[in-house]
Amino acid sequence: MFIKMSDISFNYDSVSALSLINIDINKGESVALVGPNGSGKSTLLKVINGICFPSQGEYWFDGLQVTEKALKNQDYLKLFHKRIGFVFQNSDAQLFCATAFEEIAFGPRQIGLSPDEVNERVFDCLNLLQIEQLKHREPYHLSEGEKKKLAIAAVLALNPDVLTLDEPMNNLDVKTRNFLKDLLIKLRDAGKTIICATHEVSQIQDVFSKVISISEDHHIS
Amino acid sequence: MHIPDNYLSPSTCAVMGSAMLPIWAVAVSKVKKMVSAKQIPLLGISAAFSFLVMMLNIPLPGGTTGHAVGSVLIAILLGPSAACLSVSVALLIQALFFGDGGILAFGANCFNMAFIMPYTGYMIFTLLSRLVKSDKSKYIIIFISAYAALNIAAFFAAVEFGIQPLLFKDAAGLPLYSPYGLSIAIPAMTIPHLLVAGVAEGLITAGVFAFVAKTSPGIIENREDRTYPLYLLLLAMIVITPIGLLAPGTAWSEWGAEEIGALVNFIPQGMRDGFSFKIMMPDYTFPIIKNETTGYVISAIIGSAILVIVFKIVSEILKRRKKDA
Amino acid sequence: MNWLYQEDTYTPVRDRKLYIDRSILSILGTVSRIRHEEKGHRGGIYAVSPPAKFVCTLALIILFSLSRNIYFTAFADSCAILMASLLVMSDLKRIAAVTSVVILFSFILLLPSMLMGNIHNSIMICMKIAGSVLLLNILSHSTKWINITRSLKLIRIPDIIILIIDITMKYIVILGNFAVNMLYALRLRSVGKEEGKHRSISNILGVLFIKSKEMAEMTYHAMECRCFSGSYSTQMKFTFKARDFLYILFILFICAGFFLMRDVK
Repeated sequence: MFIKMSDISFNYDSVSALSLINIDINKGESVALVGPNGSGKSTLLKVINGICFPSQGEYWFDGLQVTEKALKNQDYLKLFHKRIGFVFQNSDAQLFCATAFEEIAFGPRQIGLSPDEVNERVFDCLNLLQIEQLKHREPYHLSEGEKKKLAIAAVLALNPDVLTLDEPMNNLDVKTRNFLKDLLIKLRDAGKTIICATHEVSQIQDVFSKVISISEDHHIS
Repeated sequence: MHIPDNYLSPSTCAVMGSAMLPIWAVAVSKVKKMVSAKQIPLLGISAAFSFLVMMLNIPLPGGTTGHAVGSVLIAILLGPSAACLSVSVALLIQALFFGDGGILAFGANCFNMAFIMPYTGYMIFTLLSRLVKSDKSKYIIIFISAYAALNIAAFFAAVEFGIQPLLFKDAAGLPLYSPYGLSIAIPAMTIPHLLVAGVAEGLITAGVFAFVAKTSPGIIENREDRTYPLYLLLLAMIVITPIGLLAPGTAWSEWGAEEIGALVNFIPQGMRDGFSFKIMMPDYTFPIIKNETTGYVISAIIGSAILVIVFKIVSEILKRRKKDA
Repeated sequence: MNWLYQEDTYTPVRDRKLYIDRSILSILGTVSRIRHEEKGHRGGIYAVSPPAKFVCTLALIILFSLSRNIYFTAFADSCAILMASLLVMSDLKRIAAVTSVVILFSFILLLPSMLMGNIHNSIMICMKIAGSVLLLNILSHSTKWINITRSLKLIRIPDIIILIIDITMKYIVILGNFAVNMLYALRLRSVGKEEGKHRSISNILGVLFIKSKEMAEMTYHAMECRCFSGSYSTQMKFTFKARDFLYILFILFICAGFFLMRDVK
């Protein structure tokens, strides 16, 4: 079990966002997380990424339990975030550097790669997402589709083992959506574990091998 | 009340800039105490917020409009140290990129709007809140704090402006930089702020706080330590400075009553048309001391500021010792 | 629900809406200045190394401020105008407009002082202001702003502050657009008399603040998820070409003027 969650519940201000969630995901699986608005998909993804901590229950990643205390260890924190990448629903919040190049370079620089390695990764990611021409543009100048591609490029630059995405297809045109779908298939075939919260039911057959459905009362249905 | 360049002498600019360095250092250390990396995006975004506040045209009862600075608002919502840094960054971006001038006067502008204003406003707010505990008067307290803080800051800017002709003269005895002495600068700057800008500031500060408190109260966080001796010192400094300035009282009034009239008339007109009055505020520069009165005045101000900061650091250390004991 | 199926008879009452329009204009103006950055492929002064331009502009502004000699001020002003002439027409027009307004205001502000006999110094102040504003505008119109913020490193500003400034610029655009949309919505709904107008602005600012806090939280998480460890390094790769050498030579020429003209009366 690569990712295991038992009886995870999450409350804030006495409102329950997640209730007794149990999940088992194996390495290399591609999982779709579906459910109506407000069911807690985003919250669950945040817990998986260690941004929020559950009020009860246990979360195990690759044999180690992920707790607030464990993540206080700087080395573990860095490794954890390197291994799990998160593409936010809101691309504006995700992009904070001055140019697209810097944005993608941010992660590799933080983990201490040499400037040559950083450059290699940045160029490869720009090519993979077909956004080479945006290299020196400012992120806030880009269209929604370009921002989403840049966000994905920035996350992939860290070469995560697990890629989590929160409704990536929102606000994108058909061409970009198809591009993303093909990209996810490529990444899946390369061995990455993919967890994607989505509304797009039509994608599920092609990309994902497993579906986890959360209902309105925040339980797994 | 943004001061442009060339109205304050280079030495004044240099002195004000150096005065800001320890202030920024203290603000940074205070902000770092809360989860350090978390504050970085918060400071950037609240700097953007502060920048936008300064751009808005605020309609006032009676038909005029004004502009607000927003330092006290941010001080009450996020703490005065966060306010200090955010407003400083906003002012830097205005000075550097929006070409109205004010690069050299940056230190002075920060001193007035990013140090005096938020800390004084916050101090008045906490003191009054302690004295008057009713909920209803909360918004009146906020209005008063913002109003008073803005006017105190405007007063400081006026003093910075007004001492220029006293301190910096050329060979013929004519003022080199801002030519208006204290007797003109003080009324010229404080009257519009007392009548218009202060009201705008108070209304906006109270209004936004009310909105945020109603819709999303959990968001308000200021965990600044309330070190009263420190704030009393700040109060003392503010009171002593004008007295200190008036004491040597020689040729302050170089200009007659007509000049005061002309200047005061001009400024409200400019505001009614909604032009930014950045251009009208003289620079507040501290010249390199040739005149001993100037030297006295400047060192009094800077000395008080440094004392305040030293006091802060000392009480910080004492607090930490108490916690460990 | 009958009112929905019938036409209303409504005669609007006149009321001031100018404050909304002015706010919209000032924010849009700012946002568009931040977004309008197509200086990449122009030559001449646009291609001079940004840190050189930044440091030289700062040095000249300091010289302007220090100068007590009207001859130097006039000399430096003319050099500044010479540099401005190297800009593209559209930039030149904008700079000319801004500088003229600033000079006019300074002149008016100093008029009482001039009437009292302090003519020489007042004119010198106006000239200094003209020169400083001109130089700053030349810098901001001929250089990509992110290069200017990178150059701040040269005056010992720490990298973290530069990161904060980058984030601020970005959020001025994002929050600015958001605020403008709210102001438009307010404008569209201002069909009559509005009591307590300042309350609308307060509410808009209130929403803006809440949004700011939320986005700050999300940005922090985004940085955390990309292994942000608290340190940030800005890379400055600026090459030094013949063009830069010429530029610096010109600046040195102006500086020389400062020292040589010191004693000219």
